[in-house]
Amino acid sequence: MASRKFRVPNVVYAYWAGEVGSFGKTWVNWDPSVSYLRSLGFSTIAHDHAGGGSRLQNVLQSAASSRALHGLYFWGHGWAPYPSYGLTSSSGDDILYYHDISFANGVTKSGIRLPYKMALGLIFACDSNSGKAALSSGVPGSIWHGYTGTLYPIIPFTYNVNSYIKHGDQLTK
Amino acid sequence: MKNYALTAAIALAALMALTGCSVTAQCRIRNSTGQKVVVTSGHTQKAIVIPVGSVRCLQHMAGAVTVDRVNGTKWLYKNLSPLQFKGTSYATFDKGLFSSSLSIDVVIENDGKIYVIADSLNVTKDNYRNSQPSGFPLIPSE
Repeated sequence: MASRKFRVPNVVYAYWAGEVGSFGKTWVNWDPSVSYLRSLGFSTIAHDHAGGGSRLQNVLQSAASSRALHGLYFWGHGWAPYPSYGLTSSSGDDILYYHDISFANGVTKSGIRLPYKMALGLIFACDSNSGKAALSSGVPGSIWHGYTGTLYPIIPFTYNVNSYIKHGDQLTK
Repeated sequence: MKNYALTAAIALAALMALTGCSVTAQCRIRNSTGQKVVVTSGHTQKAIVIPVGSVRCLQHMAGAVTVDRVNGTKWLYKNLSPLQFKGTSYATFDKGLFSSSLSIDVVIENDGKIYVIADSLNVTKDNYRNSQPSGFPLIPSE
Protein backbone atom coordinates (compact mmCIF):
# COMPACT_ATOMS: atom_id res chain seq x y z
CA MET A 1 0.00 0.00 0.00
CA ALA A 2 1.49 3.33 -1.05
CA SER A 3 2.07 5.82 1.70
CA ARG A 4 0.61 9.26 1.36
CA LYS A 5 2.09 12.44 2.76
CA PHE A 6 -0.28 15.01 4.16
CA ARG A 7 -0.09 18.13 6.29
CA VAL A 8 -2.00 18.97 9.42
CA PRO A 9 -2.73 22.72 9.59
CA ASN A 10 -1.19 23.93 12.83
CA VAL A 11 -0.31 27.60 12.35
CA VAL A 12 -2.20 30.23 14.30
CA TYR A 13 -1.51 33.85 13.46
CA ALA A 14 -1.63 36.29 16.36
CA TYR A 15 -1.99 39.74 14.82
CA TRP A 16 -1.87 42.89 16.93
CA ALA A 17 -3.38 46.05 15.42
CA GLY A 18 -4.61 47.47 18.71
CA GLU A 19 -3.76 50.69 20.49
CA VAL A 20 -1.24 52.07 22.99
CA GLY A 21 1.45 49.45 22.39
CA SER A 22 2.63 47.30 25.25
CA PHE A 23 0.19 48.97 27.65
CA GLY A 24 -2.71 47.95 25.43
CA LYS A 25 -1.34 44.44 25.14
CA THR A 26 -1.11 44.16 28.91
CA TRP A 27 -4.68 45.45 29.28
CA VAL A 28 -6.13 42.77 27.02
CA ASN A 29 -3.84 39.90 28.05
CA TRP A 30 -2.15 39.72 24.67
CA ASP A 31 1.15 38.12 25.65
CA PRO A 32 -0.40 35.53 28.01
CA SER A 33 -2.87 34.63 25.27
CA VAL A 34 -0.09 34.12 22.72
CA SER A 35 1.81 31.97 25.22
CA TYR A 36 -1.33 29.99 25.93
CA LEU A 37 -1.89 29.27 22.23
CA ARG A 38 1.71 28.00 22.07
CA SER A 39 1.14 25.85 25.14
CA LEU A 40 -1.72 24.19 23.30
CA GLY A 41 0.78 23.08 20.68
CA PHE A 42 -0.02 25.56 17.93
CA SER A 43 2.78 27.03 15.90
CA THR A 44 1.82 30.57 16.83
CA ILE A 45 3.23 33.41 14.75
CA ALA A 46 2.85 36.77 16.51
CA HIS A 47 2.95 39.94 14.45
CA ASP A 48 2.51 43.61 15.25
CA HIS A 49 0.86 45.69 12.55
CA ALA A 50 3.46 48.08 11.21
CA GLY A 51 1.21 50.22 9.04
CA GLY A 52 0.95 50.63 5.33
CA GLY A 53 1.12 47.58 3.15
CA SER A 54 1.51 44.67 5.54
CA ARG A 55 -1.75 42.97 4.76
CA LEU A 56 -2.87 40.11 6.95
CA GLN A 57 -5.28 38.97 4.26
CA ASN A 58 -2.44 37.94 1.92
CA VAL A 59 -0.59 36.16 4.71
CA LEU A 60 -3.64 34.10 5.63
CA GLN A 61 -4.41 33.21 2.03
CA SER A 62 -0.83 32.10 1.48
CA ALA A 63 -0.78 30.02 4.67
CA ALA A 64 -4.05 28.38 3.71
CA SER A 65 -2.78 27.63 0.21
CA SER A 66 0.14 25.74 1.74
CA ARG A 67 -2.27 23.90 4.04
CA ALA A 68 -0.61 25.33 7.16
CA LEU A 69 -3.31 27.71 8.44
CA HIS A 70 -5.33 26.67 11.45
CA GLY A 71 -6.55 29.93 12.94
CA LEU A 72 -6.33 33.64 13.72
CA TYR A 73 -6.15 35.56 16.97
CA PHE A 74 -6.66 39.28 16.26
CA TRP A 75 -6.87 42.50 18.23
CA GLY A 76 -7.60 45.73 16.41
CA HIS A 77 -10.34 47.66 14.70
CA GLY A 78 -13.34 46.88 12.57
CA TRP A 79 -14.64 49.05 9.77
CA ALA A 80 -17.93 50.84 10.42
CA PRO A 81 -20.74 51.29 9.65
CA TYR A 82 -22.08 47.83 10.28
CA PRO A 83 -22.29 45.21 8.96
CA SER A 84 -18.52 45.65 8.94
CA TYR A 85 -16.56 45.18 5.74
CA GLY A 86 -13.38 44.08 7.47
CA LEU A 87 -10.50 44.54 9.86
CA THR A 88 -8.30 47.61 9.99
CA SER A 89 -5.97 49.66 12.14
CA SER A 90 -6.71 53.00 13.75
CA SER A 91 -5.08 54.55 10.67
CA GLY A 92 -7.50 52.80 8.32
CA ASP A 93 -4.87 50.50 6.82
CA ASP A 94 -5.84 47.58 4.61
CA ILE A 95 -5.63 44.54 6.86
CA LEU A 96 -8.42 42.23 5.80
CA TYR A 97 -11.74 42.56 3.96
CA TYR A 98 -14.59 40.09 4.34
CA HIS A 99 -16.09 40.87 0.91
CA ASP A 100 -15.07 42.36 -2.42
CA ILE A 101 -15.53 46.13 -2.62
CA SER A 102 -16.24 47.58 -6.06
CA PHE A 103 -15.31 51.15 -6.86
CA ALA A 104 -16.88 53.54 -9.35
CA ASN A 105 -13.73 53.48 -11.48
CA GLY A 106 -14.13 49.74 -12.13
CA VAL A 107 -11.46 48.67 -9.66
CA THR A 108 -12.32 46.00 -7.11
CA LYS A 109 -10.62 45.56 -3.77
CA SER A 110 -10.66 41.84 -3.13
CA GLY A 111 -12.10 40.27 -0.03
CA ILE A 112 -10.36 37.32 1.57
CA ARG A 113 -10.61 33.99 -0.24
CA LEU A 114 -9.38 31.05 1.75
CA PRO A 115 -9.16 27.64 0.06
CA TYR A 116 -10.58 26.31 3.31
CA LYS A 117 -12.07 28.19 6.25
CA MET A 118 -10.28 28.26 9.61
CA ALA A 119 -10.99 26.02 12.57
CA LEU A 120 -10.11 28.75 15.08
CA GLY A 121 -11.09 32.42 14.97
CA LEU A 122 -10.67 34.72 17.97
CA ILE A 123 -11.34 38.14 16.51
CA PHE A 124 -11.37 41.01 18.97
CA ALA A 125 -12.61 43.87 16.78
CA CYS A 126 -15.82 45.78 16.27
CA ASP A 127 -18.52 43.77 14.52
CA SER A 128 -16.11 40.94 13.70
CA ASN A 129 -19.04 38.54 13.55
CA SER A 130 -19.68 40.02 10.12
CA GLY A 131 -16.57 38.12 9.03
CA LYS A 132 -17.53 34.76 10.44
CA ALA A 133 -18.80 33.38 7.14
CA ALA A 134 -15.61 34.40 5.34
CA LEU A 135 -13.20 33.13 7.98
CA SER A 136 -14.66 30.32 10.05
CA SER A 137 -15.36 26.79 8.87
CA GLY A 138 -18.33 26.64 11.21
CA VAL A 139 -18.15 22.86 11.35
CA PRO A 140 -18.64 21.00 14.64
CA GLY A 141 -15.46 21.40 16.70
CA SER A 142 -14.52 24.72 15.17
CA ILE A 143 -14.17 27.64 17.56
CA TRP A 144 -15.20 31.20 16.84
CA HIS A 145 -15.30 34.23 19.11
CA GLY A 146 -16.30 37.57 17.63
CA TYR A 147 -18.40 40.62 18.32
CA THR A 148 -21.60 42.09 16.97
CA GLY A 149 -21.55 45.88 17.08
CA THR A 150 -18.90 47.96 18.78
CA LEU A 151 -16.38 46.36 21.12
CA TYR A 152 -15.39 48.47 24.13
CA PRO A 153 -12.65 46.61 26.00
CA ILE A 154 -13.02 48.58 29.21
CA ILE A 155 -12.53 45.76 31.71
CA PRO A 156 -8.82 44.95 31.93
CA PHE A 157 -7.27 41.49 32.06
CA THR A 158 -10.45 39.67 31.08
CA TYR A 159 -9.75 38.76 27.47
CA ASN A 160 -7.41 35.78 27.73
CA VAL A 161 -8.11 33.31 24.96
CA ASN A 162 -8.17 30.47 27.50
CA SER A 163 -11.82 31.40 27.98
CA TYR A 164 -12.57 30.24 24.44
CA ILE A 165 -10.30 27.28 23.74
CA LYS A 166 -9.33 24.73 26.38
CA HIS A 167 -6.54 22.19 26.57
CA GLY A 168 -7.71 19.17 24.65
CA ASP A 169 -10.02 21.10 22.34
CA GLN A 170 -9.29 20.47 18.66
CA LEU A 171 -6.86 17.69 19.70
CA THR A 172 -4.52 20.18 21.40
CA LYS A 173 -2.18 19.29 24.28
CA MET B 1 -6.51 59.95 47.23
CA LYS B 2 -9.47 57.64 46.65
CA ASN B 3 -10.98 60.09 44.15
CA TYR B 4 -7.66 60.35 42.35
CA ALA B 5 -7.46 56.57 41.98
CA LEU B 6 -11.04 56.42 40.73
CA THR B 7 -10.40 59.19 38.21
CA ALA B 8 -7.26 57.43 37.03
CA ALA B 9 -9.16 54.16 36.63
CA ILE B 10 -11.92 55.84 34.62
CA ALA B 11 -9.35 57.60 32.43
CA LEU B 12 -7.58 54.31 31.82
CA ALA B 13 -10.84 52.60 30.94
CA ALA B 14 -11.67 55.38 28.50
CA LEU B 15 -8.21 55.10 27.00
CA MET B 16 -8.52 51.38 26.59
CA ALA B 17 -11.88 51.78 24.91
CA LEU B 18 -9.80 53.00 21.99
CA THR B 19 -8.25 49.57 21.63
CA GLY B 20 -11.29 48.11 19.99
CA CYS B 21 -13.21 51.05 18.61
CA SER B 22 -14.27 51.19 15.01
CA VAL B 23 -13.06 53.21 12.04
CA THR B 24 -15.99 54.80 10.23
CA ALA B 25 -16.29 55.36 6.50
CA GLN B 26 -18.61 58.21 5.59
CA CYS B 27 -19.72 60.59 2.88
CA ARG B 28 -20.41 64.26 3.58
CA ILE B 29 -23.09 65.06 1.05
CA ARG B 30 -24.06 68.52 -0.14
CA ASN B 31 -27.52 68.79 -1.65
CA SER B 32 -27.36 71.04 -4.70
CA THR B 33 -30.37 69.51 -6.43
CA GLY B 34 -32.74 72.35 -5.60
CA GLN B 35 -35.07 69.99 -3.72
CA LYS B 36 -35.03 68.23 -0.38
CA VAL B 37 -33.64 64.71 -0.82
CA VAL B 38 -33.56 61.49 1.14
CA VAL B 39 -30.29 59.58 0.69
CA THR B 40 -30.21 55.89 1.59
CA SER B 41 -27.16 53.69 2.03
CA GLY B 42 -27.51 50.26 0.45
CA HIS B 43 -24.86 49.11 2.91
CA THR B 44 -26.67 49.99 6.13
CA GLN B 45 -30.22 50.56 4.78
CA LYS B 46 -30.23 53.79 6.79
CA ALA B 47 -31.45 57.05 5.32
CA ILE B 48 -30.73 60.72 5.94
CA VAL B 49 -32.73 63.77 4.92
CA ILE B 50 -30.78 66.63 3.38
CA PRO B 51 -32.49 70.02 3.02
CA VAL B 52 -31.73 72.18 -0.01
CA GLY B 53 -28.21 73.60 0.11
CA SER B 54 -27.28 71.68 3.25
CA VAL B 55 -24.57 69.15 4.03
CA ARG B 56 -25.26 65.95 5.95
CA CYS B 57 -23.12 62.93 6.77
CA LEU B 58 -24.01 59.43 5.56
CA GLN B 59 -22.18 56.50 7.12
CA HIS B 60 -21.48 54.24 4.17
CA MET B 61 -18.55 51.98 3.30
CA ALA B 62 -19.43 50.57 -0.10
CA GLY B 63 -22.17 49.57 -2.48
CA ALA B 64 -25.25 51.29 -3.79
CA VAL B 65 -26.75 54.60 -2.74
CA THR B 66 -30.19 55.87 -3.66
CA VAL B 67 -31.48 59.43 -3.68
CA ASP B 68 -35.21 60.12 -3.43
CA ARG B 69 -36.44 63.57 -4.35
CA VAL B 70 -39.69 65.17 -3.21
CA ASN B 71 -40.95 65.16 -6.80
CA GLY B 72 -40.88 61.36 -6.73
CA THR B 73 -37.74 60.90 -8.79
CA LYS B 74 -35.38 58.19 -7.55
CA TRP B 75 -31.73 58.11 -8.55
CA LEU B 76 -29.62 54.99 -8.09
CA TYR B 77 -25.82 54.89 -7.93
CA LYS B 78 -24.26 51.44 -8.05
CA ASN B 79 -20.91 51.95 -6.37
CA LEU B 80 -19.98 54.73 -4.00
CA SER B 81 -17.13 54.02 -1.62
CA PRO B 82 -14.94 56.40 0.40
CA LEU B 83 -12.36 53.62 0.34
CA GLN B 84 -11.73 54.36 -3.34
CA PHE B 85 -10.11 57.63 -2.30
CA LYS B 86 -8.13 56.57 0.76
CA GLY B 87 -4.71 58.18 0.62
CA THR B 88 -5.68 60.72 -2.05
CA SER B 89 -6.58 64.40 -1.88
CA TYR B 90 -10.26 63.46 -2.22
CA ALA B 91 -10.39 61.82 1.21
CA THR B 92 -9.63 62.96 4.71
CA PHE B 93 -8.70 60.67 7.56
CA ASP B 94 -9.37 61.98 11.06
CA LYS B 95 -7.84 60.07 13.92
CA GLY B 96 -9.81 61.24 16.92
CA LEU B 97 -9.64 60.55 20.62
CA PHE B 98 -12.56 58.12 20.63
CA SER B 99 -13.08 57.33 16.98
CA SER B 100 -11.43 57.59 13.59
CA SER B 101 -13.08 58.28 10.27
CA LEU B 102 -12.40 58.15 6.56
CA SER B 103 -14.48 60.82 4.81
CA ILE B 104 -15.15 62.12 1.35
CA ASP B 105 -17.08 65.23 0.33
CA VAL B 106 -19.54 64.92 -2.53
CA VAL B 107 -22.12 67.15 -4.19
CA ILE B 108 -25.37 65.98 -5.74
CA GLU B 109 -26.36 68.36 -8.53
CA ASN B 110 -29.78 68.95 -10.03
CA ASP B 111 -29.10 66.65 -12.99
CA GLY B 112 -28.38 63.81 -10.57
CA LYS B 113 -24.63 63.70 -11.09
CA ILE B 114 -22.51 63.21 -7.99
CA TYR B 115 -19.17 65.01 -7.93
CA VAL B 116 -16.42 64.31 -5.44
CA ILE B 117 -14.56 67.31 -4.05
CA ALA B 118 -10.84 67.36 -3.34
CA ASP B 119 -10.11 68.67 0.15
CA SER B 120 -8.12 71.55 -1.31
CA LEU B 121 -11.14 72.88 -3.20
CA ASN B 122 -13.92 75.14 -2.00
CA VAL B 123 -17.22 73.86 -3.33
CA THR B 124 -18.71 77.34 -3.52
CA LYS B 125 -15.79 78.93 -5.36
CA ASP B 126 -13.81 76.37 -7.30
CA ASN B 127 -14.80 74.59 -10.45
CA TYR B 128 -14.56 71.07 -9.11
CA ARG B 129 -16.31 69.74 -12.20
CA ASN B 130 -13.08 69.93 -14.14
CA SER B 131 -11.05 67.88 -11.69
CA GLN B 132 -12.94 64.65 -11.28
CA PRO B 133 -11.17 61.32 -10.69
CA SER B 134 -11.74 58.19 -12.75
CA GLY B 135 -15.33 56.96 -12.50
CA PHE B 136 -16.71 60.38 -11.51
CA PRO B 137 -19.02 62.16 -11.71
CA LEU B 138 -21.37 59.33 -10.87
CA ILE B 139 -24.29 59.24 -13.27
CA PRO B 140 -27.53 57.89 -11.81
CA SER B 141 -29.84 55.31 -13.25
CA GLU B 142 -33.48 56.09 -12.59
